[in-house]
Amino acid sequence: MKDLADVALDTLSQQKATYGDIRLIDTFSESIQVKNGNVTVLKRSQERGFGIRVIRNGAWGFAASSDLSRESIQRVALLAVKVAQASSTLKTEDIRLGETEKIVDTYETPVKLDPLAVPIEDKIGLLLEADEGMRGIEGIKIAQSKLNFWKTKKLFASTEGSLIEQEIVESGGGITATSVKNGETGSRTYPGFLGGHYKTMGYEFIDSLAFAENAGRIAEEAVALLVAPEMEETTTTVIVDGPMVAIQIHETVGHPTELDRVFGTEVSLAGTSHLTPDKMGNLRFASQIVNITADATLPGGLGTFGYDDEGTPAQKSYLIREGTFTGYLTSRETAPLIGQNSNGTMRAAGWGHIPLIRMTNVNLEPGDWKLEDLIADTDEGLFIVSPTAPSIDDKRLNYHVSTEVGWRIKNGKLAEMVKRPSYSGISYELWRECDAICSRDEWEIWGVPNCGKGEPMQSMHVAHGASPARFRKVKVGRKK
Amino acid sequence: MKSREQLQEIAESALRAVQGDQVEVGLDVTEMGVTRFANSGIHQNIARETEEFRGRVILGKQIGGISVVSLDKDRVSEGMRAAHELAKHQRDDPDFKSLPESVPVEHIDRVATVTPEERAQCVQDIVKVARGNNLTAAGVIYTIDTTAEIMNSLGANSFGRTSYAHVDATLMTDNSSGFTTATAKDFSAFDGRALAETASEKAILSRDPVEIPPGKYLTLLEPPAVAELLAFLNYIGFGARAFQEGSSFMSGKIGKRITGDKITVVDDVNHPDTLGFRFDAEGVPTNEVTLIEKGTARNVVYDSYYAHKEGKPSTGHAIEQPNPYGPYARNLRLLPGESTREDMLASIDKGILITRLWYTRLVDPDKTLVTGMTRDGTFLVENGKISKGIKNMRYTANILETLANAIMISGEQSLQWFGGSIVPSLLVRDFNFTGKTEY
Repeated sequence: MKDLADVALDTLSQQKATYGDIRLIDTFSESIQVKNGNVTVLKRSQERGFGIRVIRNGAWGFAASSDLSRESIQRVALLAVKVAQASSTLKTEDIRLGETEKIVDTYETPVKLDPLAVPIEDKIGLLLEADEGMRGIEGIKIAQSKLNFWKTKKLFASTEGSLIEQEIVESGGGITATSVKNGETGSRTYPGFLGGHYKTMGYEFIDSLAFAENAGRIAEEAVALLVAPEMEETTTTVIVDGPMVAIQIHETVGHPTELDRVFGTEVSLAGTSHLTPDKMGNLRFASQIVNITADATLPGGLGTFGYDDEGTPAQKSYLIREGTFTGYLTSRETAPLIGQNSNGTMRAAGWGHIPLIRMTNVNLEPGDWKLEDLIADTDEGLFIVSPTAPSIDDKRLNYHVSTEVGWRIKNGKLAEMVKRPSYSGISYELWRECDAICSRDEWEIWGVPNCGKGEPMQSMHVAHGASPARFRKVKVGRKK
Repeated sequence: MKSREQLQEIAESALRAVQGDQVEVGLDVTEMGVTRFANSGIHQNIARETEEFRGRVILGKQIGGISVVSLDKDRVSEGMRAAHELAKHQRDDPDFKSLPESVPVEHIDRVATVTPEERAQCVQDIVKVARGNNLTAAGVIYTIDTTAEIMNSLGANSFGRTSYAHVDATLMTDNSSGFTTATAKDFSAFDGRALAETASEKAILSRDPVEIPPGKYLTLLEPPAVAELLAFLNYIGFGARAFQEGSSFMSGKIGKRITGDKITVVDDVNHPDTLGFRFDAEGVPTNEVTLIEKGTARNVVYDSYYAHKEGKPSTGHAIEQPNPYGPYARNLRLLPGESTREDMLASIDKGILITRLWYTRLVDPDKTLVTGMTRDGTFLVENGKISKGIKNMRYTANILETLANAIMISGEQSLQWFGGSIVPSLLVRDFNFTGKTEY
């Protein structure tokens, strides 16, 4: 691969590029899905290709191809230069990248059990066992379960002399039970985060997930949802589980702290951000107990790597410190605009995409509560688990989260189940009402395998460390 | 770009590479250019070429699938052998009957290569209007040229080549924005200046937006907003999988009224503006399907797997196989009415005009209930005229109920990028706004 990278870099140097890099990427993936006792998807995929990024005449160009011949790489490098020249006809100012070290290194996800080497029969057997567990509960019409694995080999080489090889291994999956009766449905998922749970780990992570042990429980809850009442509109205390906290972090902290969108470069799709640089260091975004970090070095997170796709080392930084908005996710191009160096968050969703600022592992640092103590400490409210879909405005202020299920809290105890409670409001008002966070014992890094951003859409793997937390004065439910 | 003969040769060698009871291969070659602009300059600009194949190998009722980003003959053969190996480890799928036996289809559109310079010129036309009005421009231009060959061991052999292009432009003041969009097969159909003028007018009209209280309002939904609602309806239940599972709003409702009698929705593959091929991912010709006729549920769309379960022929709506989603209506069209935009505005004493929706998500699929935000041009309409811009609001609406509340439908319709549907504007009663934001 190194010799192919040299073909690109030599071509870019001959074309007097100010800067250039190439990423050669080879991804193997496997997908297994079971529905109602049938293996409906058993598929393997391989994506191999390269993308060349160049600055010429002060403007960016990018070209990519799945043809890895030397001739193709030379031709595509010239195409990238041509694209940059077209960009330069309407540039706002010359692109300047922040300083970086020349890095020659390798990184590999620590893996105990290569997921692609585990026999297919074992994986199918695991899913069928969970499937039977769900369908063993009367009233379950649809039982679905899935496993997904990725092994990605990446080579990054730049005209500045960096040469970085990485191998990232990701594993995960989930199960879903759905009841159907008289046009009504009830769905519950396990582990309860957007249909699955994913980590940069090997098959040992799947072994820890205990699908079969949880299949019957979620199936019973799915059936109970058919007759559970909906939540009336009210303002109350809400305790949410780790996955709910994760989705809140994702939508109300992760996206609005992406510095590229702050500077307007995502206006055409994702929008901008209310967290403008003048607020950094002085906006009281959350209550004082809230600390939110971006940490690409956390073992096992889906946003864990050695180097980002600009060759910047993985690192940890604070976005919210003791409730105050203190920092952004940055890149070599954007960080200097606020007087900083990149904190290493530029990633591309494969060889055919340009790197963008993406969340890594963006985490709510743990507090010291136990969930059972937190519920016992709450006279009246709602305990909500398992988000289904978030929605938020294009500056990341007005949020809405739909969920699978909730339970009323009465006198410190869980009471009646409610169906699909939703809650909404203004993001910083929610975080300012956070008055309790559970401890590291209940803290988990929840993987999001489908964070969307960019045009063409890039589906990125990111994660959020979170434990259950309590929020006061939250608007829940909807008017009948 | 590879020729049809080259693709057929690769497909035939793929079918020969394995000894399955049935074998299917799909080949795609795509060249895509995307130019993004922001702060009135081009900041992201890409050219990408992709060659890819997908294969299914069937042994009895055991199915193995493969996809590889390459059309190199050796890698295609290696991939097909991998699919064959997967099939051997697979369990029987008792619901699988057969790959489709289908007549060959050929769909070839006129395709013109679009250069980065041509895309940059269109951006310059947009930015020139923005600067002339002291506005900032952002947006995107896509140009896509794609070729596909689908072949199976039962005789399916469909080939297509087509192109499509898309422009979004958002023009902004310091506290307002206006959006415009266009999608067509042919990039040369776009007039960047005219598109920018529309967005400019909206941005200027919505400057210094005022806040109005949430509640139910008579609302004019422009085509991008209508397309977003229709896309979610499609996602919930125009396909046979959800229909058969009982989770679709169409389940058990065929022949029954499900929305207003002004509403007819078809999957209209034959409309001249529609994008994509006139065959599906199994190579089956796509039929025109009436989904909702004057408010009454009529049909859903099928691929071969779900069609066999009901003993019906496929309607040609398969997406890439294997997948857990089932068939999908790719060419939705909400039939137009007869009203003009002027008629619709004139009929509003007090109401709201929505240019586009944003981040629409399901709240309750059983009720086709969704929520989302307005964006890039939300206006108060008073006494038949747009009076001022209003701050963006959250809406929460039952889609079928919203369609039933349509009191006027425009005669003009347009192809929308979001969902790929062809839709008119709708004037609807009681569109439900449930929250507000700060801008």
